[in-house]
Amino acid sequence: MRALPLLLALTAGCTYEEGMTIADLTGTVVLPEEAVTRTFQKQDGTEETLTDPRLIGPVYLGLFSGVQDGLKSYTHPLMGPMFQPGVPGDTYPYAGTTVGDLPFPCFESLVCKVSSGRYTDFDNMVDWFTDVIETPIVDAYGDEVDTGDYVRQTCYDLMHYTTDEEVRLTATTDRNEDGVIDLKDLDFVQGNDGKFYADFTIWQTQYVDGFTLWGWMDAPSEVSHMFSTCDPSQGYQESTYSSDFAGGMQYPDLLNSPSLYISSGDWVVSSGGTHTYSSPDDHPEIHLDFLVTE
Amino acid sequence: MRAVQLSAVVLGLGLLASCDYSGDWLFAGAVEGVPGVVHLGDLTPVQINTFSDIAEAVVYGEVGPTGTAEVGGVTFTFQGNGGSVCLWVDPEIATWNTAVAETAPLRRWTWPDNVFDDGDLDISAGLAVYYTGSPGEKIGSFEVRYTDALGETVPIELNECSMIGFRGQDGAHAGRGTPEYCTLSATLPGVSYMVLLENWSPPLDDSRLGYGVLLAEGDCNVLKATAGVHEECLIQGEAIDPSAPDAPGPWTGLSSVPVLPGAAAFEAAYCDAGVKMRDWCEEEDLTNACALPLCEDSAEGVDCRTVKCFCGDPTDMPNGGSF
Repeated sequence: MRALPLLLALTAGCTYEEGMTIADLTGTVVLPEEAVTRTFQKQDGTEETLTDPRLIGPVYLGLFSGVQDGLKSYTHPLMGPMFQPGVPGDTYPYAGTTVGDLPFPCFESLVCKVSSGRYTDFDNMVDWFTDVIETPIVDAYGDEVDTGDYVRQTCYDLMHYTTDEEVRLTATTDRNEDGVIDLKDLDFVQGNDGKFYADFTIWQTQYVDGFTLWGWMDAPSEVSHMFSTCDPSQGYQESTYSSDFAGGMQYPDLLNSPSLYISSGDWVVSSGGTHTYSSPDDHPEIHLDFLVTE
Repeated sequence: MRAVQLSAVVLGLGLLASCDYSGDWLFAGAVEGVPGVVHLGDLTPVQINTFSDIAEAVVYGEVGPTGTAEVGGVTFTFQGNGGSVCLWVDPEIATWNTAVAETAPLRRWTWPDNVFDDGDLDISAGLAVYYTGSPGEKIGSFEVRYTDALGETVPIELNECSMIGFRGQDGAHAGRGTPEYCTLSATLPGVSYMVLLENWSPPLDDSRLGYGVLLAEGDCNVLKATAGVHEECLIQGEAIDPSAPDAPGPWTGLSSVPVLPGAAAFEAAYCDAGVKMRDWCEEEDLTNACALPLCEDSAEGVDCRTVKCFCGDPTDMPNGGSF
């Protein structure tokens, strides 16, 4: 029987430490007030300047081997080799996440114009498109949508949903537990210093010591109000009666080739705003502090 | 040391030793005279104007197993011409059964596929500079490794032969001996490209995989439209007679390749939309007694046939609806 320990030892030799650290990386994204402020030329000839979280597009965060100034007009992740003229090298990101994404917007006129986590309720959404940007939501019959309930009902009908949580277009959780769902329950909440703060989590990431957190906010177009990171030809396809459209979805290589999608008006993390990890327990505050102007 | 202890130690050592084996015995053995890695040299894209231009432009050959666990296959190079180049390979006489036949397709199989004619080559291609193999010596790939700023290695696939799969996914290969093709768009003039035909599955009977490969100028979709035939019929004559004195080739042109007796008639019937293959196969069975083993495979004293059947063994049919 003395041979048994030997056999067990041999068997135990088959187990080994993989050396991988899998962690949920958490932190905070900070947007300056200017990134959430825009001046609108109203149809009646007046101007209106608003600071409003509904101006915040999807925020994309990625973990890269490093960043560098001078590659583009803004700080950009390091890239691998270029294999074709005019096609930027791949950044080969390690992982990433978003703060706000592109849920199915229920109306063709809203495709690629709505980010999750930006609207307190459906009326808040209707007001934004009708009163602020003056491009009202239009339904499948070409009629203007003027109530939030109609938006909700359309989503329920098309998606066979029964709750706002499933629709994911509006805030549904009382995050600060103050008894009401309001601006303080959106992804980004304005602080006393005027900046907007949002928590993020990059789930189940294989930690690599020294990788750098970088990202950008895709601001809505001033003309079309669409997000340039959204492909309107893809996503959930709605084909019911007079509705026949794709709901839009993010391009699959946003973190691999960010320069293809970053455009004027977007806000990017500058080299001083990135974070290089020294521990999976780091809780960085990353600042999207650079306005892209070209 | 008592016997039980000794046995335990021997068992332990045996377990450890069992981790060290090549697995070569799981793969087909080498075939004498038929190399497992073949390099055809530098080919030139051919201009195809009509279907009749194709037959004499096809390069034929045979490739065998490497005899080890290492993958084998066929390679050749060509020089980019500034335009599109179509790569087309057909590794099997006809991949078919009545479930997928061009004519009279059935939901249920009626005739089995001929597994003894079932070789499969997978095509990939790219700039020769990125190819990691040694032509004629060892098969490689178009995967290069990039080391990022943190020292992490990233594999990069530089195969430019993009095939779209049944569900629309990129990077697919055709299955079960089906012809494969792809277009390399805007090739760089004067730059060398490598084409790899990986031996995915040698035939079960003799492990000699016959193939026909076409390198044509222009887009493959244009070539298909020009040919105006079923994909399986664009290249014909790839059922090569292994007993031919100059086997395993290569040969250029249908008129020079030694085609297996009877294969041309089978392929002609398959490619003739007016022929019902069920009828053809029933006739073949009646004429050649296809349920009997081929004489070269049969045991002594067992009845056998002398003519190869191309429709498969009619007694080896799956039940209706099964796969």
